[in-house]
Amino acid sequence: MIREIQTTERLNGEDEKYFVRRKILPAEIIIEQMGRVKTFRIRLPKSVRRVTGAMVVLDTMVQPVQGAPKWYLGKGHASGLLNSGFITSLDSGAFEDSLFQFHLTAEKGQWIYYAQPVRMNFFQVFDTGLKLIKTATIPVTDLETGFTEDYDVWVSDEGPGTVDITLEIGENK
Amino acid sequence: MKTCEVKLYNARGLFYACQPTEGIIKDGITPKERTLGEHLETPRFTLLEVDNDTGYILGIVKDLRTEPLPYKIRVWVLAEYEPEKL
Repeated sequence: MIREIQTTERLNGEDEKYFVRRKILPAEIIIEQMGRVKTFRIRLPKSVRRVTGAMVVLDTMVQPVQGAPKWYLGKGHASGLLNSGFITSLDSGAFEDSLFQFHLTAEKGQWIYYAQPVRMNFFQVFDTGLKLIKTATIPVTDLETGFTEDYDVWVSDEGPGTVDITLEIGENK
Repeated sequence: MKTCEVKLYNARGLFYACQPTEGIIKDGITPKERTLGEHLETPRFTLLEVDNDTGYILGIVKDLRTEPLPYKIRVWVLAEYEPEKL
């Protein structure tokens, strides 16, 4: 909100003061195709009397850059939660080592999910009795970089209980 | 540089049209400029009475095929309330 006090001189020489409030109303339009025409609308507050200015700015958009690969691991309450939003809500980390150990509990009505980029090598699960089945390959958008790439997703059976998971990133076979 | 054409309308007709590099700051608005309404005015803009209008400003952005895609157009409309006598 922009506030200003305006003074108006009357015929009798006295001043009249007015309190003027102005508000900036923003809009954003993304052009992603050549020659595209897009429309938008800006709602004016009810008591607005007039529009006193407008400004238009070009904002170039930085293309998302592929970052370091991430793994995602966690549990969900439905076996079919295979979308980017769900996957990125799981715990995640970088592949800083070839061995990873996790401790998880998934009761009845819960499934364990593990996802990693397709570009990564194959992984193996040791000593847990946990059966992970590669279920889908889906595009996942990294929330930090905005970069989207395909991820392989593995899903456990329902309610495997408390499990200690050791993953080893090995050679692609 | 011709990037795109922006037109703004109210219920009565076109009141502002420009390419986004005309008389404006290309690299965004500083906090100071956001505060100073005068900086929003451009040579081609005239005051627009909007009393009894539809309550909306309508806008059209037309890409002129000169800018690498994608890009974002940001529009700020400065609206003024009825003055209150002190």
